[in-house]
Parts: sequence; structure tokens; C-alpha cells
Amino acid sequence: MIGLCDCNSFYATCEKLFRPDLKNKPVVVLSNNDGCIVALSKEAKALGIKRGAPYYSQKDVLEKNNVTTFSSNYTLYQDISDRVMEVLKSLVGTIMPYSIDEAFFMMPKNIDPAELRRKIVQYTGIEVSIGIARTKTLAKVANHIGKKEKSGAYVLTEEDEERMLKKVPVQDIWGIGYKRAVLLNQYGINNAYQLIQKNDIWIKKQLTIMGYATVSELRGIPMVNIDNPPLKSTCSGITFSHVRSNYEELEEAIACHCTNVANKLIENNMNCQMLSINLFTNRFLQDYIAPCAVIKLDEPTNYIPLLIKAGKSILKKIYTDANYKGCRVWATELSPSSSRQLDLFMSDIEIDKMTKQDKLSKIVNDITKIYGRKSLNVAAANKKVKNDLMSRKMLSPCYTTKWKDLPIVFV
Amino acid sequence: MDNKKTDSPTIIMDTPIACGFPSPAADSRENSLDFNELLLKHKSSTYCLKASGRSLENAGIFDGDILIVDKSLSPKQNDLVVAEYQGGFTAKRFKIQGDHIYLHPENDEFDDIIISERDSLSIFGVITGVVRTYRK
Repeated sequence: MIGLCDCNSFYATCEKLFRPDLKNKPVVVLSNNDGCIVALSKEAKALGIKRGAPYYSQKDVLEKNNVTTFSSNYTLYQDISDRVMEVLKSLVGTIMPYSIDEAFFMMPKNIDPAELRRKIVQYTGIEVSIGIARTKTLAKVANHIGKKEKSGAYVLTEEDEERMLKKVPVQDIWGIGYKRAVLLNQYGINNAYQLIQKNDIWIKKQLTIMGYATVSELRGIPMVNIDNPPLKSTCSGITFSHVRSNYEELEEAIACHCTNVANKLIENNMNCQMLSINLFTNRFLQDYIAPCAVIKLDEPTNYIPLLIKAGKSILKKIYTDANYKGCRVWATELSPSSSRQLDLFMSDIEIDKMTKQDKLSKIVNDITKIYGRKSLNVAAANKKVKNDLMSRKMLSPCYTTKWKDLPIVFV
Repeated sequence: MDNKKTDSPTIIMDTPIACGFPSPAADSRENSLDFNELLLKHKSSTYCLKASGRSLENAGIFDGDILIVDKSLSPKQNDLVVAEYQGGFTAKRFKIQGDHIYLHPENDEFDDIIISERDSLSIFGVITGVVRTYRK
């Protein structure tokens, strides 16, 4: 059987770990740059506050209800995540981390799921829930049920699958996106059980081969392999601290996020061949626009200057004068940087240039490994953007990674 | 083909060739003492907290000490523990007597904290060590 261990309201739980005064109190965590709410404790959820809402639109509600608000402290979350993963690994053996707050594992026969959960919670101080089932997709379903159980754990047995899948709306299935769910609803398919009754040809036609894998998993046949999840895309973006309409300012922001994306690619030894840029204005205003465009690069690359150049060329195309609230940069069509196929018609000079770019990318990677990601920066990505990145006014201490930030215990 | 290169074997020495005799102890080298090994029995469930106050002075814990706290251990009689108390963390000696838990200070100027309902007390972890430096 496959297990899924998932942390409950992970960022909010991390913020509460060294704050006993916040026990049973509402807590929210804001995105980069304090843009919008990205995580809520269960007490904050109970107040009806929604994930994704812009911070400024919720400021009054948060204040009125005495909700403690934090800027996101990724240093803390990553350290706590590493600990949860280590503890899980020490208890079950092999694990397959899937994201910062969840990991799949092979459930050993002699372990009681509720006891496993109790230990993880005690050892780390982080609330988790455990779901056990025949496949990863079913383990996701089981985990969802487990979150509502008192024990925090749930084993979905084969006999129970039919009964439980009837209660799972299609939009809640792992791997079925919003658009696909709407499509399925149009065909009268509302829950997971109805979906697995459809024949394979229909499923492949409507949901592609990926959707077919999902459905097979719901039927109990393991199909989703995440043993070494390769990076499929990477993204960097921000909600600006102030509305921007100036072209140069936007260019700087794009350059900064292209650099971030390139660094992530370099860290993972990946190149990308597609780059997309998206600008957006305030979603809640009537003249909301979100121009977006994609560019296909001549060769897969993770070379910072090339990505910035590509990013700027897209910006030129999509820019119209408006009050932009933020931007996003995506890199897709990733491939391992070692397996790049050279264009047959490339000249020697071009190949030589590429080898040099590879070397530079590697050096950048080595330096950032030692001195941190912010140590090197391309000149185009500079000051104003940095101000944006630093707008984290309600940042908690790095309790577990900095000696000067240790939590205090009264003696 | 460059015959010269393939014919002459490369000799690799792992002891530097200095003027003297190679060190007879070079093979016996071990890694030097590792404080993590000494202080962190369960690395991923151990947190460091900074002590503030004087209630455990007779137990050898002073203001400003760094406490090493292992969350994977369940408190036993007479363990030094960190507990959540009145919205903060407090460190005391853990004593069970019947249904009551006593958070016992090690300094006569302080009183016991008595917890009458065992379940209402949340223990953060067990103190397994103290780190103190003298010359900053």
C-alpha cells in the first residue's frame, strides 16, 4: 500500500511552532512581497478568510478578528520541511517527497497509520495527516478523508473505494484541473466513481493520456511515477508593492524574474526552450487585463542573459500602458542540460559560444551555491526590484537556522 | 599516437613528498571530534532554545544558555523539560505525583507550578544538553 503524508496548513503551522501564545488562534501567511494570503491556519479558515485574496483587501477583516499575519519565511519552512521528511524517512524507510509539505511512501505492513502520524506530530511539532491506499491518486483521496478523522489517518481499503469515490467531486481529484472538471460536469460526470466507469477510449480522448493515468490510478492500477519527479516547469513572479506602469520599471522586474528562473534551471541542471511572460493588473477592477505571450527559443538554454533578452522581447510585444499589479515568468519545455542536442546547422562559432555560456552558467551555479542565490545579479535586474523583494514587513525570526533568532524559553 | 604518454605510468602518492620521511601516522588519521554527534542524537527532532531567567540555576542552567531540546523523547520522572505554559515556553524539572504534574524549579526563590489535569499540559520536548560559551 502507498501512503501520503501531508502537512496541514503547513506555513501557518510552522509559524505557530515557536509561538505557544498563538495556540488555537487564527494565523495567515502572505505571499512574496506581502501580496496575497497564501496560507491560513484552521482558525483563520473558520473566519471565512480565503486563500489567494490580496492582503490589502483583507486588512480590515484580519485586524478586526485579531488574526496574526506573517510574511512568508521560506528559510523556516524549508528547514521544518526537511525535518518532517527526515522523520518520516526514519519511520517508514524510502520516501518520495512531492512538494515542500507532502511525501509519498511505501507503507510498511507492521506500522499502524495513526501511530505513525502521532510520532511525526510529536517529533516535529507539525500537524500532518496520513492517507493509505492502493495507488498515489487513491492515497491523495485517503489523505483528504484522513484530515477530517480524529486520528488524522485513514486507510482506504479496496472494498471501501467505491463508496468513498462516490463522494469525491471530480474537481477534487489529483491531476484533474478546473477546466477538465467543467468538461466532465458537462457530460454529467460529477464524482470520481462515475469517472472510472467510463471506457478507456473515451477517457483518453477527453482527458489525454495523463488523464487516463489518473483514472487508472483511481481504479487501483499504479501509473503515476514520481520517484524522481523531473522539473516540468519553473516560475518566478511577484505582486508589486506599488502599481507600475512605467516600461523601464517593468523591464527591470522581468529581468529579475528571468534571472530567478534561470537560477532555478541551473540548480536543477535543466534548460528550457519556452519562456512565457505574464503581466497583470488588479483582478478586482473592471479594466482588468493580463497580457501574456510565449517565445520559443532557438536552443534549450539556462543562460541568464539569453533568458533576459527573450523576456524583454516578449514584454515589448505585450506591453500596453496600464497599472500593473505584478508579473510572472515561466520556463517550460525543460530538458536536462547535459542532453542538449546541437542544431545540425550550427556554426562552430555558435557552438563555441554555447560552450562558453554553459561554463558561465556552471560558474554562476557554483558561486550561488556557496554564497546564496542573491549573491550574483545581472545588471539589468537591480535596485527597484530589490526593494520589492524586501517588502516582507511581518517576517518571523529564523528560529531554526540562525543563532541570533533562537526562540526564548523562560526559566 | 603519442607513445610517450601511454608508456610512462603515473604514480599517485597520497602523502606529500616533502624532504623528510612520510608520516607513519598518516594512515591513522580520523575525522576530528564532531559536536553534532555528541549533542544531537535525533537531529531532525531536536531544536535549540535560549534560556531566559534563573529558576534552574541549581540544575546548572543559567540565563543565556542554549538548551538542546529533543521532541522525540517522552518526558520521564525528573527529566528537565520545556513545556508550554501561559502562552510561552518554560523550562523546569518534570515530576509526576498521582494525577498531578509538578513543574519544579531548581532555585529556592521560585515555586512549583502544579498542573492538576495531566492532559492540559503540553510538553514541547526534553532537554538533553546545554551549550554555554564564556568568551564572546
